[in-house]
Amino acid sequence: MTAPLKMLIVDDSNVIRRKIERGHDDTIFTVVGSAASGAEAVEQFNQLQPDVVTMDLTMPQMDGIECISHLINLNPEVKILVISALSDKSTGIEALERGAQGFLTKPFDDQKLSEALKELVEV
Amino acid sequence: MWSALGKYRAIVVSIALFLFLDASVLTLNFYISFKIADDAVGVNLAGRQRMLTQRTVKSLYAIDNASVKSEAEATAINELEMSYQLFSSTLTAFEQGGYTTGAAGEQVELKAVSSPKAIKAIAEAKELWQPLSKEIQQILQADSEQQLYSALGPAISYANANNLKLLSLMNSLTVELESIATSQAQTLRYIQTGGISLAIVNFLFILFHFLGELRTNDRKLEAARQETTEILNTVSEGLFLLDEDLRLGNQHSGQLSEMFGGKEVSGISFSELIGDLVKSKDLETAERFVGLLFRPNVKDNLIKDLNPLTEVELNIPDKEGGYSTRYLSFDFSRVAGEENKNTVLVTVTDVTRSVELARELAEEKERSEQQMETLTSILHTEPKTLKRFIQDAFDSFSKINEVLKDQGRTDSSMSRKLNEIFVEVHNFKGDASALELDNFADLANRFEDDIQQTLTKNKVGGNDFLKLAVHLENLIRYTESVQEIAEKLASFSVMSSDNKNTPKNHSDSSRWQHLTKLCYNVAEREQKQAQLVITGFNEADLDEATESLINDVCIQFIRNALVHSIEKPELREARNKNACGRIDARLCTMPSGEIELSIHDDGAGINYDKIRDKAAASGQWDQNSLANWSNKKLLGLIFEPGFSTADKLSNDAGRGVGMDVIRSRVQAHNGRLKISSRSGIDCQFTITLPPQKQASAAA
Repeated sequence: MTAPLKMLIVDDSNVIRRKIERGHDDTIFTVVGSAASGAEAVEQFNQLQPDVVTMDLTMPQMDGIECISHLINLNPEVKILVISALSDKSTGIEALERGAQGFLTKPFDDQKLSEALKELVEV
Repeated sequence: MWSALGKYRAIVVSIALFLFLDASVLTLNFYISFKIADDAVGVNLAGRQRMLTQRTVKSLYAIDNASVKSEAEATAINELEMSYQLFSSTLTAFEQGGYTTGAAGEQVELKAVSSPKAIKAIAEAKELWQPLSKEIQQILQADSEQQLYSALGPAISYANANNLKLLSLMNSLTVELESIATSQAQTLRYIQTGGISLAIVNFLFILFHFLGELRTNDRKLEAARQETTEILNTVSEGLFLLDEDLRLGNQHSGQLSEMFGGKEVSGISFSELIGDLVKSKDLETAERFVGLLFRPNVKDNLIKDLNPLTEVELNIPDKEGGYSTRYLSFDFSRVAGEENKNTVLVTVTDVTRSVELARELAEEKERSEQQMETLTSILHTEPKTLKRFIQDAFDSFSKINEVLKDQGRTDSSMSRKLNEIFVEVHNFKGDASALELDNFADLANRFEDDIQQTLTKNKVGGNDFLKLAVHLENLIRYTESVQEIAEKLASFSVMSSDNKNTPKNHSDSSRWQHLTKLCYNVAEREQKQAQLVITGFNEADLDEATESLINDVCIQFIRNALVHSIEKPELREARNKNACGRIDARLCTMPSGEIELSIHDDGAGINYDKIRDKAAASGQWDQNSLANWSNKKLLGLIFEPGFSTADKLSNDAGRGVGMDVIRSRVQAHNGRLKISSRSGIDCQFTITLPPQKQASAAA
C-alpha cells in the first residue's frame, strides 16, 4: 500500500474546513494543513508540499483564482479541487483554466466529496 | 511476431512463397545455363575429335608423299604431332575429366562424360586409338628417314583399316553430347515454364485473396456505416462531435437538425449553432467550458456542474405563424482519440417537458404555500375579528364594483372614480396587514399598483378597467375561499366549545390583541422599537358599528404613530428618550355617555416642515403661499385624499389615504377629531363619539 496523499484544505469558513477534514477518505488522503486565505495557503503550500489541495474561491487576502495560479507556479503537478458555491459559472471555469482539475459545488455531502477527491487523483 | 502480423499473415506467406519460387527458378536457370554452356564446349570438342581423326590420316599420307627431308615433310610431321596431341588429350579429358586445349588455343576444362553411350564410345575409341597412338609416337620419335618410313607404313595401314571406325565413334560421341545438351535445354524450358506458371498461380492467389479481403472489408465498413446511420437517425437526442476548433463533425443525428428547425449543421462552428439562442456572454462561457474538455489534466466528470447550457430556450416558428418554445440541455463528454487528439461528444436533449414540470411544481408549491399561509393566518386571527374583516371586505368590494360598473365619461370623472377605488383598496390593504393576512395584503397591493399606473395615464380606456375588474374578481374569489374555511373552522370550534361551555368573555380578552401584534409588526418593518399599552378596551361595552370604527381608527393611528412619529432607536437615544417608544391607546366612556378614544405616542410629533415640503413637491399648492400657512392649516392637509409624508411606499404608509377616510367615518358617526402635538416630544389623536344610542339613532 502506498503512503496517503498529503492534502491541504483552503477555505475561509471553518465549518467547511472541518467538514472536509471529516468527510475525506483517510485511506487515500491525510490532511497536513488548512488555510483560511489565499495568502495563508501559499505559505503553507511551500512548507508542507501537499499533493492535493481543496480550494475555496471567495476568500479574503488573495482569492482562490489568484491562489491557484500561485500554487500551479510552485508545483505544476499539484491536484486542485475547487470547492465553491455555484454563483458564477464563468469564475469556476476560470479556476480550471488557471490549472485546477475539478470542481465540486457547495453545498456537498460526504459521499460527493469523497467521490470527487478520488476522481481527482485517479490516473 | 506471428500473431502481430494479424490479418496480413496470408499475404505475407504468399509473397514469401512468390519470392522463394522466383529465387528457385533463377538458381536452376543459372545452374542449367552453365551446364548447357559446358555441354556446348563438349559438343564442339567432340566435333573436333571427329575432324582430328581425318587430319591425322591426312598428315600420315602427306608425310608419305612428301620428298625426303623436304619442307613439306616437316610441315606434315608438325601437323601430325599437333593432331595427335590434341586428340589424345581431349580423349583423356572426355574419359577422366581434365584440361585440354580449346579451339583458340586456350585451356579448357572438360568434365568426364557420364552418359553410358558416350562412355562406351570413348572406351571403344580409346581401344582403337591406343595402337595408332604408339605408331604415331614412333614416327614422331624417329631419328632417321629409315626409322620414319618403317614406322609410317604400319601406321598408314592401321589408320586405313580403323580410320572410319574411329570417325564413326567420335561421331557417336558428338551426337550423344548434342542430344544431352538438347535434353538439358528442354529441362530448362520445363523449369522456366513450371516456375513461371507457379508464380502466376501464386500471383493470382494473392490477387484474389486481396480482392476478397477488400470486398469483405468494404461490406463490413458499409454495414458499420449503415448501423451508424440507423443509430444516428433513430436516437431522440441530438448527437454530434466537436473538434478542438469547436467545429461540428460531418456526422450527426437526424434529430439534431430537427431540433434546430431544419438548419444544416454539418461542419459549422459551435457558435454558429447556438449563437442565436444565448447571449454573447453565455456563448463565451460555453465555449470556454468546452475548451476545458480539451485540457487533458481537467477531469471531465468533475466539471459537469459548470456546464452553462443545461437549459437553453429555443423559439421555433410553428405552422400557425406563432412560436413554440422548447428547452434544450447540452451535455458534453470527452472522447479520447488517437495520438491524444480528443474530440467532444455533445448530446442535446429536449428537456421542455421536465422544465415545464419543474415550473408547474414550483407554481403548485407556491399555491400550496399560499394556502398554508392562508390557513395559518386564519388560525392566528381571532374568529370574530376575521368575520368582521371579511364582512368589511365584501362591503368594500361591492363599493368598488359599483364604481367600476359606472365608468365615467369625462377624464376628470374617470380619475375621480379611480381615486375612489384606490381609497377602498388601500383601506382594505391596511386592515389586512394589520391582521397579518399577508395574502390579502399582497393581492390588494397588486391591485393598488395597477390603479396607480392607470392614474398616471393620459387616456384611460375600457381595457384599463377590465384589468382592475380582474383584480377585484381575484380578491372576491380569495375572500370567499377564506370565508369558507373560516366557517368550517367556526362550526368545528362551536362543536368543541359546546362541550366545554366556554365563557363568552374568552374571546373578548383576545379581541384587541391584534393591535399589539400590529404594533410589533409595523415597528419591525420600520426598524423601530415600540410597545403598545391598551387601557379600557375590554371594559367598554360597544355595539358592533362602534367597535368596527374604533378598531379601524386604532389601526390607522397606531400605524401613523409608528411610521411618522416614533423615531429610530438611535435618534431616540440621542434625544434622551427610551430606545423603545411607547404608544398609549385609551378608551373610556365619559359620564355623559360619550366615548373617547385617544392614541398617544412619545415620538417626534408632527413635522410641519415635512408636510409643507411634500405639499410643495406635489405641485398642488403654490410654494410661496405654503410658506405663509399656519400649522393648523398645514395639519388640515393630512386629511386631504392622496396626501402622504412618507418617503416610500410600504404596507403601512405612503399611499396617502387613510386619514381622510377616518375623518369621514368619524363624521358619519357624528364624532369629533382632535390632534395635539409637541414637536420632538409627543403626539395625540383624540376621537370623541356621541353616546351609542344617539349614534345608532343618527345612523
